[in-house]
Amino acid sequence: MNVMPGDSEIVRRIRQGDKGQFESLFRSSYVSLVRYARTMIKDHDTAEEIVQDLFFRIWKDKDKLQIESSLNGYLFRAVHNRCLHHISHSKVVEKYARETVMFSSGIADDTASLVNYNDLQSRIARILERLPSRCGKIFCMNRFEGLKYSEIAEKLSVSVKTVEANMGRALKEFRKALAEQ
Amino acid sequence: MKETNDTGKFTDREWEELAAHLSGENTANGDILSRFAEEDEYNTMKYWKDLREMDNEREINVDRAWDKLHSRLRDNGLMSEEPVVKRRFLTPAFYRVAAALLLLVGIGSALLYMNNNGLLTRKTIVATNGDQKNLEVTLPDGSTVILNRNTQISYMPGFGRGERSVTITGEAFFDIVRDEARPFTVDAGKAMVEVLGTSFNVRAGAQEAPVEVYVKTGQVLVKGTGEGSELVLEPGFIGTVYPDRSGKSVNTDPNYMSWNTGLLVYDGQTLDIVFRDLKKVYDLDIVADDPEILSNTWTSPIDNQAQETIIRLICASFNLAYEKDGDVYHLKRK
Repeated sequence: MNVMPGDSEIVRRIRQGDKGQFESLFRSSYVSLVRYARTMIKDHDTAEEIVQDLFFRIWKDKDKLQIESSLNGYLFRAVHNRCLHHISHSKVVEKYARETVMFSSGIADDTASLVNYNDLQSRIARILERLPSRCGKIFCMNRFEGLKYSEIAEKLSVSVKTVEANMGRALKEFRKALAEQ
Repeated sequence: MKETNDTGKFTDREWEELAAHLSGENTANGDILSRFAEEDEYNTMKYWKDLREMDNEREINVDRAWDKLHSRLRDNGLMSEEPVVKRRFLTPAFYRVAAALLLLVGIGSALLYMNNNGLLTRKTIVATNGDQKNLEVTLPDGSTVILNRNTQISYMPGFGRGERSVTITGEAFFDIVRDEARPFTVDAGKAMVEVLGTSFNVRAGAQEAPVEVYVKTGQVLVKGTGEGSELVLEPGFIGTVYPDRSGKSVNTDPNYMSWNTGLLVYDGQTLDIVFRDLKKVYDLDIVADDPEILSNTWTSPIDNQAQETIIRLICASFNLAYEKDGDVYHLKRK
């Protein structure tokens, strides 16, 4: 049967230099993370580079790898911050602010407050930190990779019912996060 | 907090229905939807859908991305050159078995090393245990091998320099990159398989069983241990090699490669055969409480559906009910 190692186990193995575990984490989260980066950065190649660069750093500094919340949340938050960094660096901040309707108030000038910016994407990163690992994974596969419930069930070797239940939970958290200011 | 309490207006079941509807899975009952829409001052429905409506026209190629990252890590001295292993089904037990095997091989190799007067003979070994199948291994020459359960392949450090050879026990599907200058050989114990560039399946299981080689594309040369036991196999043929004889025949079993493809097709086989295949291919355990259930016949293809879906399909077809006990599905008459 398919047993997914828990987040802390995955982190522990990567810290110990387990290449297979690192590769498997990369393969299972790459598409979701690139799609997520694409919601913030309009350039596809840059989005891919940002995610690859994140994984490069993770492996390079693996002995310093410390993840308090969920692994999924960590990855999404890291991609989020890198995207913001990229945006502020390419001096398209204002353009981005105009184009992104999801922003709810004005835009800050410096990178530090940009990171704290309370937009939809950063809420997603927060939701993913709160959701159990598998639930967050299912949410990403459905919302970012566009997989149907049945396809997710198959990929993760779980029942469609399990996917349903997890998606229900994810929606509830999503709604809660939107309500929080 | 008022906002958070709002989420309490719906039961978990209702959240599930809402999520399924908003994700385009099914049509939820209109009542919950309109109740939710009324409460939806935070635009949950819109944002939920927005996440999906991004520009997805560019395909994201994970293999290519991994190759790129891997070579960057390698160029920076952060990762060594090794076979790339795609773990499709991870189990901690696998790591333990693999680690134990590697340790054993390490000890074995060290002994050989001393024996061979300084020749480096440390093999690369990839192995699967009984819970694991479809482990894909990329060899240094770019050829791929997919391992079934309880399978092990190994090759020496010089692989690809002058010759390409691997040793196998168990069952694996090989897709070999064509290289006329360097023939590819598989040592399967009782048989030796030699190709230039083809795809084929080798089944080298129990000691007493023959070695079977099934060819998907190209041409394959199979040599037994006896004299004159050479076989040339074309696509669609299975060569069977016993210690003292060998022969070839056209494969008539449409499910021969199901362990790899996941596709099972039937043409009126009884359920006991179907269940045996499901165990082999999907590790799905089904028990019929009434043996008569097993004599029903089956004609639909099964193609990588989720376990639950397969069970429901069977139950619906024969008016059965099921109960799940651990990993085992029990079927009974309604």
